Amino acid sequence: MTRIESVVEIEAPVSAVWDILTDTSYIVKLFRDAVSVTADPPGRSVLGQKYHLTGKAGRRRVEFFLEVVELVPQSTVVTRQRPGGLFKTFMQKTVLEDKAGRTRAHTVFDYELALGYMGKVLNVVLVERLVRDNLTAYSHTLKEFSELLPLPAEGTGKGAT
Amino acid sequence: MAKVNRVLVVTAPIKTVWAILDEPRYIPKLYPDVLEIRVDPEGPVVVGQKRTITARMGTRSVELHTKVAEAIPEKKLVLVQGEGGGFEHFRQELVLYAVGGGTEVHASFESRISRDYFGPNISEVMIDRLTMDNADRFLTNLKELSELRPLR
Repeated sequence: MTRIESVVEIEAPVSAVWDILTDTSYIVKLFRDAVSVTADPPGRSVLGQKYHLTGKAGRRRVEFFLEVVELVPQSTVVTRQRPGGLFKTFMQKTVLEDKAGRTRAHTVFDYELALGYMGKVLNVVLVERLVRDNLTAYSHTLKEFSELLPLPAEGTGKGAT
Repeated sequence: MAKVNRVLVVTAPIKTVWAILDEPRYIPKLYPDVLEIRVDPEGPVVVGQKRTITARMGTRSVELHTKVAEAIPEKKLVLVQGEGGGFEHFRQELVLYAVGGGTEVHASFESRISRDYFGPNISEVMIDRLTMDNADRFLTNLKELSELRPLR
């Protein structure tokens, strides 16, 4: 079992971070090698929501099957592996904490790759590195997107940079 | 105005390339600076479909509106400027040709930003460069995604 843990301080309120964290369409941006995601039910994360992710490992398409198993609004999301796909086991837990208008985001990934799924086609060392890179970058990407400021409302045309 | 014209050869059949172009949910992976997309009506490409795109521009998020003007399955896709948003003018035209077992993609992108949206102080040169970079990356990513092979 491999663990990747990170804590980032985000210059944005919890609500802004939560919006991105629970918007399933952001999954393909938060994980660099995620290609597409379908959520059931579609839309924002809810308890019991199931994801089917397609990702890329080199020139191969790989799949992930996940489920939201814990959801505390504006605070905690926990996602776990469902049978099948690249992970033998997988758990992601992200906890948000308000820090006077800013947000502390603590994310833990615990995972184990399914060697049988990869077979002889994928290089285990390469896949391990790809997965690690994706999960390591996740928190910083969440921070980057959360801190984006909307351009002033249309019609004002002021202050664009 | 930003303009990009490219021809791209994809080692995948037309139906595979079209399957990606036909699904708006791939847009955030095709364009590196697109964060999310909402479409009306939801679902695959259809003429008249409106698209609201949230994109990243430096430390800002901006909204872009486009709509599907022409869609011939496995042949041609044309998107144009929608109402409002950051574009004053936008046109993306993709035409697919079968070449052996692969696909030749003829792509053209044109865009001009809206001064009403961005204001007078924005660097049009900078935004044009970002737009052209995204257009180039769109094609690279389209090729990469189309050429992915299943594990089994």
